[in-house]
Amino acid sequence: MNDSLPPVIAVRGLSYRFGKQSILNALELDVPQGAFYALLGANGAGKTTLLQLIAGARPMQQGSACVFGTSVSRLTMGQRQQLTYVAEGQELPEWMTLAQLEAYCAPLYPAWDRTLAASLRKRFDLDATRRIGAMSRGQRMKVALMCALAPRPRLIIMDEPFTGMDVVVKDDLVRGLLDAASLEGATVLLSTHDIAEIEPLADWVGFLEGGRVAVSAPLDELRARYKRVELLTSDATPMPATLPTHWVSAEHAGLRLSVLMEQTAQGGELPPQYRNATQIGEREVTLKELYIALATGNRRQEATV
Amino acid sequence: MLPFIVTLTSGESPFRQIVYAATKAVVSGELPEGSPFPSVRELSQALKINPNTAHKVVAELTRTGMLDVMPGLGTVVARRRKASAAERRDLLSREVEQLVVEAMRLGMTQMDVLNGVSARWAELSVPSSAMHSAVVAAPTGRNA
Repeated sequence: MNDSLPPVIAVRGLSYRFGKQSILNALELDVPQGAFYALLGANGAGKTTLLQLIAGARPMQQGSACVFGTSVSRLTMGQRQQLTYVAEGQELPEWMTLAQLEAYCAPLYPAWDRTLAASLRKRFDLDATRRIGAMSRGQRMKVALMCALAPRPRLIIMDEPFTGMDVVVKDDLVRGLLDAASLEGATVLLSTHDIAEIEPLADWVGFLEGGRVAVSAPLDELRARYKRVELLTSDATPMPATLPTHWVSAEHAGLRLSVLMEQTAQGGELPPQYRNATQIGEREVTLKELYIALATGNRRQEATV
Repeated sequence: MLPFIVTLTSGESPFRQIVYAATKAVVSGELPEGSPFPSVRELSQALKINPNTAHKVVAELTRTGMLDVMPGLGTVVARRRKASAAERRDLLSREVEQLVVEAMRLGMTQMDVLNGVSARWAELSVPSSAMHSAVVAAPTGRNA
């Protein structure tokens, strides 16, 4: 990843409505070159709509989305061939065998790599003579990923690739994606609500909430910015009416107070009623905790990094 | 297959977990001096972690003296060096204090903690040096 390079995806003031219902609201998003970017958000947050708009699979209503520095609607054929998009439950021509599908896709992409396609087929344990209609869900997802990786794209967009996949299939998909990201330097943007699965994979995360990207940052930066501290209070001290500014969220359980806080330069002052509290633990925050606290929490506006 | 065991759990960054697991494998002799360490790609594939994280793991283990870079060959487990005075002081002031605080919170005795430390020390000791490492005999319940 290189900060001096322009972002692969740049979304500005993007709004989208279904009738009266606002889905995306003046959304801004930058995805840097080479990032493995995980877009997280609740069901119905607009992840699919956003990815469709970026991939050019849905017409824009308001705002702009640029890929490779060019507006999505004006991408040249050559640029389009460097972007692959796998929709959730991607439809595939069921009547074709895998070999026929490969023969159909190859001429559409000048950079289609037959050797890579063959090695992915082998790695995913797929049978080229088998009809796609006769394949399992997991096998079809592997076919879709194979077709998305074989053109050696610069950008891969995937919508919920892991949904409903068993662990073995998931592992194969993940390893295929990791190879594309590390060996080819491709940028990956995928949406998921499988936070535990994505945590070790992603190096950038975005939280989609209320039609906007509430937080978009390198995962390491978020991890370094926050910590969880456990305090043992002397008696059941009531929670202060207003939390200290560097506290993101705090929960009381008996005498134990668990605080998700920002790392501050001075170490952070405790509110007066906690001055006598003993610190009994401090640890890193998980992506899940960050997501719950920052995307759905009460301090959204200050959370942008 | 990786030459050391790590099961990633959510709760701590994969980076820290892997660095810890690899360090433990080296100090316990499970990964002997001079043995090859997995490449960035091998780590990334085996553990399903971002290649940047895998790269940082190797860099950190090299920085802390666990690995040596062999140009053209990758990395190998380094010869153990003596810890600096500052590193020793750090360990004794920070990690030991945390252990003591936690033990006091749980109402344990000093002897409980020392016995636990001795037992774990013996487990991790490299076999060749095992006979030199004095294992404190657990004084079994004088009053209990």
